[in-house]
Amino acid sequence: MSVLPFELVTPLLVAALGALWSERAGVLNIALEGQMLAGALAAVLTYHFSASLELALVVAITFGALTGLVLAWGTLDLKADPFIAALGLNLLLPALAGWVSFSLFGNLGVIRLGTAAPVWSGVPVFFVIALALTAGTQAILFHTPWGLRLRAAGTSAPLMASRGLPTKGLQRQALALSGALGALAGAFLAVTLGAFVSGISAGKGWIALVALYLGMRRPWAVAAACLVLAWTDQASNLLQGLRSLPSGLVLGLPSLLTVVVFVATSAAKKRFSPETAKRPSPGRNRR
Amino acid sequence: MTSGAGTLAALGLALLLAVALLVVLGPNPLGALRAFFWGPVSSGLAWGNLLNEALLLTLTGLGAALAFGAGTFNLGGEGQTYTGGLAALAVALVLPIAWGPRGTLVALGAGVAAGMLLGALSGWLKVRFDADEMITTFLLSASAVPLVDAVMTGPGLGAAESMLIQSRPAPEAFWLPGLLAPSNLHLGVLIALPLVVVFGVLVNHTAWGYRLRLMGRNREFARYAGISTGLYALVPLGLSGGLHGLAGALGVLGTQHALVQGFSAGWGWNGIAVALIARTNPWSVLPAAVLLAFLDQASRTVVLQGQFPFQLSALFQAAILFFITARFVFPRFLRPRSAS
Repeated sequence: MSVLPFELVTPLLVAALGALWSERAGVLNIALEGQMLAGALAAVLTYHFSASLELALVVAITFGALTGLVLAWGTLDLKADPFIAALGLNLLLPALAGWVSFSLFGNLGVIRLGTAAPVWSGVPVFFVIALALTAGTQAILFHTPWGLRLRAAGTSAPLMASRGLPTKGLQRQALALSGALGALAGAFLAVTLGAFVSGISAGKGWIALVALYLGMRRPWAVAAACLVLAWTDQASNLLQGLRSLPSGLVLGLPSLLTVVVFVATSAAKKRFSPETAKRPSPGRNRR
Repeated sequence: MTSGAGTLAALGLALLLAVALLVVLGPNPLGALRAFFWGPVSSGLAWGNLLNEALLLTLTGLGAALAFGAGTFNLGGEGQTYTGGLAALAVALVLPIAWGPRGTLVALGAGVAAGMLLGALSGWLKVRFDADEMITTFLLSASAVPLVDAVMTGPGLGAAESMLIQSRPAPEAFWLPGLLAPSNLHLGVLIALPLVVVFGVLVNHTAWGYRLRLMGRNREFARYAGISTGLYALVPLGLSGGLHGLAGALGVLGTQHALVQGFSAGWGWNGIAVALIARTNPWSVLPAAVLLAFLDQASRTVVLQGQFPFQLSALFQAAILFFITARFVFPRFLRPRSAS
């Protein structure tokens, strides 16, 4: 146990950044949980056949972006409800992962990786990448025209239409990026663990949404929120080790925590700005 | 709004996917296809299981349809069903055996109440804190499932000797009489049929149902018309949860006779698919439930007969959910948006 639980913060932060990009574009991506799992499997399989960690990460990112595009196709083109389509994806991806792992390895369980996550003088490379992604998100989202347009797509679709800007295209890009980050988070998780295990994401895709709201949708605040959540995760692991808590409570904790934070933010929003209370809540497609 | 044609297209796509998978990946395409289409109706046992699942999905489908029809989304069916099963079992274990059928009714009532509480909690969070019920129902359900898992093997409920992860069995006096033994069918699930009629009339032919549908169509207009929008968010979610809880309780007292881990897995999701296929009309819920139950039993048969190596049900569930929602334009999207 370290003061900075890198291995807990890193995947959470990357996934939370994925949630942030989609939320800022007004199409909150709720399929992160499934995308993390898919990214983990994609990375482990690629490494298994190529023995190249870089390639494994690239394949995971590509596959994640593809799942994001599938979600965009469903919600933006076929006009599906974004939440239900994402849940469909969350059911589909584990089923596909199980099927792929079963057909290739004859089991639904564990695939070993046989490599360790790279470290630069004591600091895990993945953590550095996660920090770089946070800085990049901050810079692009708030200091480039594309970032501005993306945020406008999330808040004021009519304005976008009046300026002749393509809301749909930007939201599609955001969902692809979000899926890519979700899958990258899953790949980090699997490589750090040294294996693919079914159910490896274990609610982290949902905790990432907690981090998003706790961090008030700002990249560095989200990173801080991830650190706080990693500490609580560490604490709950300790508690579980003490066997004083029933395992059901520990397993149910991520979603329970998410719902508490979600209700709290909703309540705060309602209380502090009566105007926005009438706006559709996050998770709803604002078209 | 897309009409029935869109729904048919979505189902067709899912079915096409199923057949394609069977033909391309199965070791014996003809055998797999035969098992898929003939398996669910090939024997009394198969019919019993098919009808049982169809009626249970009618209940969860009615629940989902009721909430959707009122413009509130209940995505917590999984947890509500499971919790309903837990409540029914716990009550059945406590009640004196002498109560007999009366005890069965009380235990079923406990299941309904548990589901209702879970659903209404999300409704209350929506009314009180403006927390999106779509997200809270899902997350509350997702946290309820592992909790129920923990409770069922914990002190008081756990079974000492069992290969499955399950609770102690409920007293036999409270079991619902089986039909078409040894299938899963039992007398209890038949309650789904009168409930279809009740909710069909209630939703389509009463003032209450009219206001409910008005809520689903246009909440702002409903508010303008003087309808208590808070109440109409709370009640459908509560009723929806109650119907899910009833399904869980029936599964425990009629088929499993104990709380078995994951016994109701998929009932909630399939209920949502049923409601979407039925386009939230209670009358259409029954045929939609039969259809989905058939798909589910068919994929089970294929796997059981060794025609396919992997559990297909989850794939179908996901594909149907994805395509159905894709084709189905929700009433809530017809609500006016800020000048767009």
